[in-house]
Amino acid sequence: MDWIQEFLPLSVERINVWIGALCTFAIYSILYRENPFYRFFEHMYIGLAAGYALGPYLVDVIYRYWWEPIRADGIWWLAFVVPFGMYLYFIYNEKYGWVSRLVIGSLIGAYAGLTFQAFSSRYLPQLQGALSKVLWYPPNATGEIYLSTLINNWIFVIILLSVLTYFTFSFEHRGAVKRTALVGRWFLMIGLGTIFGNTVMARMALLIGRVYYLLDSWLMIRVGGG
Amino acid sequence: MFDTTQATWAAFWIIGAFVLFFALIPLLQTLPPRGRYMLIAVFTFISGLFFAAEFFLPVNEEGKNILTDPFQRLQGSLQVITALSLGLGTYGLIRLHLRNAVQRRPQWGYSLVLLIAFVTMAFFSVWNTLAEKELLGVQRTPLLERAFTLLFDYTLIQLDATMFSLIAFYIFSAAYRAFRIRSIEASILMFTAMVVMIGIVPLGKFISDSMGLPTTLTDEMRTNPFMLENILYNLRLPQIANWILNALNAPVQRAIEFGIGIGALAMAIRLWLSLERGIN
Repeated sequence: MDWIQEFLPLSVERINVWIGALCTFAIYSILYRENPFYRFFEHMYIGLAAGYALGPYLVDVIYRYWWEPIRADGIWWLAFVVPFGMYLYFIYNEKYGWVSRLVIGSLIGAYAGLTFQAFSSRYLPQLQGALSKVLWYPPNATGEIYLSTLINNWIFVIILLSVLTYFTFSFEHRGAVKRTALVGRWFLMIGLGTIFGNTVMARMALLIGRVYYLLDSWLMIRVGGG
Repeated sequence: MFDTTQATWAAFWIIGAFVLFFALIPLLQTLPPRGRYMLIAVFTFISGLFFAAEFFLPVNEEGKNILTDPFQRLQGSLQVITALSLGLGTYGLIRLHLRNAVQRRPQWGYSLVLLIAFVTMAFFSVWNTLAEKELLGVQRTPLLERAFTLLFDYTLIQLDATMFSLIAFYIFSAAYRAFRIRSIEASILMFTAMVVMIGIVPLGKFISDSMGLPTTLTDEMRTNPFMLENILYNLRLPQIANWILNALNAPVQRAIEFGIGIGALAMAIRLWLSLERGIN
């Protein structure tokens, strides 16, 4: 009897838990087939997600990066940012729609400029790191390196070059290049297999989390340690 | 402390900026199509040039150049405009569902559910953000605490986690299609995925233990890579999975990243110079 009293939604805390369980069952009901129960909660989810974004992503960002620098630091030219950004909203207007492209163009240009930065600061050091791996004995002044590290470094360089060969489309793959590209494709399959395996396990972890919520928080059946 | 003079000046500037920008629209409208295209191309080029130049200009002892400070401000501005574009997406969603509900289109009830959920959550989310930042004198109240906890922690988070865990069911049918051994590539993919999946969970350890493979690496084994125990230890499933992740997967990911990087660079140049048709 005690368990039933605790289980039923007779307190605010338990009502919250029951709503969480209801949401879980509603979404999982799609596994059986499309149904109104699922559709109701699906639309509720989209509405809640869109509504939530307004707080942290709109109000907070505008306050932190626009209002506060103008008010506290006196950066007056920032006052033009939001009116300029508001040009975006003309996109639905047939007559003035092109004005929104000024903002879209600026955003695209800015992100293109940032891509140059990203390439120089991210990819070039990575390329340098990849091609400066120790491949021979003696590796450095102290000479401390395991044989396994040396073998792994060789594997790293061979895989990197063969996969990059596979991605080269500037010329036709023939002879040795074709064979290297084929090996590169096999290595690529290893990478994709790893990504797939990791994705499956991550989704399974989420599923286990939901089952744990239902058992532990909703049904109050204590499972596992800790 | 909140300085009302500064706030008044800020409001003055903002109103002035709004008036100026909206007064500009009739003037912009007088431009011919070619002029409009040129203006958009100029905006794209200048903004790209600024962000690229900041990185390539020489820096002083403090690691700064003439563009560093405005760059940081403009990065913030970029975030503001991106946030406004989020508002644009929300506006589009709400407009669509509002039209569904008002015109009583088929299944308009679901649109109504979406609108009610949106308005309720938006109200409490904005309230919560204002209270958190102590803006406009907004205070945290028990109603806000209770409503936000219910809407966020016990509804949105639960729906979010369930929605993403749903993929766990569908991924099995995807796995069936991917794992049908019809070529060398599919076989490699299947073998790798199986080893990684089994190796990173306790099942991998259990299988390795059952096969009697060494469970620990001793100092003696560490110094002699050709020792039988060492070789057997490295044949344990968790060790193999770890090796695949670090030694085989890492260079593949690196190569994919380089491919993406070079592709992004080429695309960035095309966009920056307005060579990509259909954007401007």
